[in-house]
Amino acid sequence: MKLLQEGQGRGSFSPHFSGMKTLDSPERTRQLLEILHRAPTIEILMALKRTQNILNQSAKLAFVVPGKEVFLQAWNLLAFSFIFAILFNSFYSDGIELKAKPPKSSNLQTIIKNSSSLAPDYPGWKKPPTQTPRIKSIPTPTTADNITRLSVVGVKERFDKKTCVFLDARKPEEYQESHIPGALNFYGNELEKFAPLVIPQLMDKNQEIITYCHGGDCDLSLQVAKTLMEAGFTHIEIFTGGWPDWKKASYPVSVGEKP
Amino acid sequence: MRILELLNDKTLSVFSFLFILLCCGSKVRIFSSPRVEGEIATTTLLRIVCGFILAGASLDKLGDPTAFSILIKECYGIVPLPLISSTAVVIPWFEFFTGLCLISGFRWRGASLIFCALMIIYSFAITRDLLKGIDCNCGCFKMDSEEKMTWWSVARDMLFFAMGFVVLVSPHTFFSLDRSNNPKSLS
Repeated sequence: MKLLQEGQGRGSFSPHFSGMKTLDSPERTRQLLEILHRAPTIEILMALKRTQNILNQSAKLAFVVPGKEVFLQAWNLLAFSFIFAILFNSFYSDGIELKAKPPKSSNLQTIIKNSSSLAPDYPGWKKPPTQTPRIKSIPTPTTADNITRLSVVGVKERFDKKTCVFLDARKPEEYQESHIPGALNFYGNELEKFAPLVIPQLMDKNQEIITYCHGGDCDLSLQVAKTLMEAGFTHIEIFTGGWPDWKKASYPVSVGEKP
Repeated sequence: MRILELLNDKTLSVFSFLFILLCCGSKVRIFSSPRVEGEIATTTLLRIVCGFILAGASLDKLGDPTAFSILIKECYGIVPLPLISSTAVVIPWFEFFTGLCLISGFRWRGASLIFCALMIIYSFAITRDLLKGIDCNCGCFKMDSEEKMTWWSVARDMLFFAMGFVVLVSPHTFFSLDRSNNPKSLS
């Protein structure tokens, strides 16, 4: 640019670059521009400029809408992973049986199916889950009122088998705070209020029912058990340790109004 | 190990949020100049991070499908009972291979689509459990973790989804085994 500005309108031309101030012919101008064009710095700058232009053009496409090919890629990847996983599982020593189905749950068990543990006799497992009881097993005595008392271990076994319904005899506030997954609230001091709500949810009179409250001296669970016995239910047991023992054993809990 | 202990739902949410900010920043020329290189660099970074997240999450589940199936049964009611075993076997490998593809850049766009889909499913499953009041550990990265699922877990997964989405719609990437950097080659 400097060259062109200084050389405009002048009639002389110096062959040396250092003294070059004027341009006298179009041909020479072309040659000079060629020389300048071949200069390494210029070439680099122009190459950079070209690259930037290309990138800027492509940058106009700020995002790409996933097309058919993307879905095909995803599908292929999923198919490959699926086949690999099945093959790996069939040769893996700790693999599991894919075809086995868990035992069908009854209508009542659907109440607790989302929060209860898997039955240990589920045929799908080659290696059934083993859980070490954290509290020593104690005998399950039957008292004069013919209601069986259960320890936390016995309760956990029934909980795992999903064969029983738990009734929480504590206050609704305490129940909402936390309770055994699947348990229904049946407050022992308001039997008239809770009975019409809970009893229709029980499957039949032979349904295995476990009641619990605060353990120790708490007799709310006993009141509930007696009420149910009077109503004709035959399989009622009381979890003597109640909520404190369950919580101490760190077994699963649910929170909220729902079972 | 101490660094790994710090990676809980909250910190992961914050990190992913910062990553997304970084990516948006590159788009508006805050962090990088010229624009395009910075944008591609950040989306490449996002892609690799997403890959490590997914592959890392799968490692604990790959070797123990039994424990994972128990976790699904106990905590995630969205899977039908007959499908629990197959899900426990297949999902970790989905995660692993998708993560591997994202890291290596091989079929990265399809992998990022799966990543997004998985994050939506996980968010839905965790939200469902939280609304039902089921008190479980997430089992997302470590099955025996004591950290319970919270709304932070949902936030984390949604932010992971956002990261995956940015990767999915980005036209270019660096360090890719795929020669699909040309936006015309896809879609």
